[in-house]
Amino acid sequence: MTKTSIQIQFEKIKTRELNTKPVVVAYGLMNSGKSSLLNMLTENVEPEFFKTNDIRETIENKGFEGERYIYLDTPGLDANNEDDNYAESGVNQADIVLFVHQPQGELEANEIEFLRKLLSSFGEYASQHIIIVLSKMEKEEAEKIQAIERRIHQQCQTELGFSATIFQVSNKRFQAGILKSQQALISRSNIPELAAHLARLAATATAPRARRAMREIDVLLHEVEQAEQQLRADKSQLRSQISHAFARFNHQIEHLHTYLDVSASDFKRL
Amino acid sequence: MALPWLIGALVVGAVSAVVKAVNSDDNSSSSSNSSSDEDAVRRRRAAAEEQRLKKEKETERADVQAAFKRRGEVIGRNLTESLDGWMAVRAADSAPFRASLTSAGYIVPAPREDAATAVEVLLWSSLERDDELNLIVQNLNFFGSVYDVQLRGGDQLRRTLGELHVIAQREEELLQLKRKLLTLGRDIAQAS
Repeated sequence: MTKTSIQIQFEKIKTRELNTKPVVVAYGLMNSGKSSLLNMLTENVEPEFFKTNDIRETIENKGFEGERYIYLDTPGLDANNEDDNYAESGVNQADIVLFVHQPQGELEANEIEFLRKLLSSFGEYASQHIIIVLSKMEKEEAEKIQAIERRIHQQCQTELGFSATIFQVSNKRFQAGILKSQQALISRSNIPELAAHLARLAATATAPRARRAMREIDVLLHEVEQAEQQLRADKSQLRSQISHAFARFNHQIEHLHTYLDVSASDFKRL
Repeated sequence: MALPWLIGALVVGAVSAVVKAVNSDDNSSSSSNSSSDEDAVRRRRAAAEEQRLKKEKETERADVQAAFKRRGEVIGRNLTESLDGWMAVRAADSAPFRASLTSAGYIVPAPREDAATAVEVLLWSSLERDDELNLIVQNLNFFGSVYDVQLRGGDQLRRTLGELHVIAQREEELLQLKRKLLTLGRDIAQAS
């Protein structure tokens, strides 16, 4: 890592740390309901803030600053490589992750892989701060969704080694409830429960960020040390060049001293 | 009559006595003259010998001085060659060797003010002082005093010192960055 890139990373960490509001980032496959979920949580029921559609709408990370949190939407994990880069760039910013999964079945292989990266980033805070959200629960029967939830719990335990916090939600029910002022719909959406859970997490939400920042700082300090070592080696080599260059001169000066002393001594005896 | 014979004998005797007396006077003054002459000759000879020896010694000394200078110039050229590329050596004239031999030893005139100063400044400002650098500077100053030369940093030295300067700058930047990282880490730890 060059000094410039270390400097850039340092500035990123510092900027993140200056941002006191925790960041909630939504991840998931394309069209899993991430943008809709964030619209509901941020009360952007209509008009929507985070663009939704059946086609790929989110192509870069987009943020919304709420009262308590900053919400960040990401492109689908399976969209394309460039989108994946955007998605992954949000990992280091996330204090809380809403991992959104359509309950068509269990977690797919690429979802498992991405969760693995998140776990590495969150460490001991993973169980609390990574929330798996089963979206579009209105589309399946309750029992099937329960079965899927159990299966996902199992996958998280056996394949990832962590106890997942899982919420089932329905964005559509929440939206309809708000638009029609129907509290029953709102309640059955589970969006308020999820929002309440996020509110409870707010107090300790930035703990993973601090942990992450310390790890990143350690990495950067190591990079600095490596760079310093290289500079010391370069300096030593250049110094050796000078020593070598003057070695012959120094030897000739010794010879000169000897010559002068011997000549003077011989001259005195004349 | 015997008297005329006696008078004659007396006269002869007297004359002889006079002649003898005169002769003995002559002999004693010539022997004292010859010993002082000899002394003078000896003294002159000794003085001449002394002069000759002195001249011989002077010639010998002059020859030794000349050989000393010639050899000194050769050493000077070797020294200049040994610095090729690293130092620019400019001699004031074609025979810059300034040392000379005396009965007390060798003497060297006071060095030119700017003989090695510029190089000294260049080296001190770019390199950490250690025994090796001290020796190099000491030797350059000695070269600048024994020989009537001006020393300046050569291309290779300037290039190398330039690279060292860049390294020093980068080290300082990394040190600043390290301090910032440590401060940030401390602040984050305290905040959490």
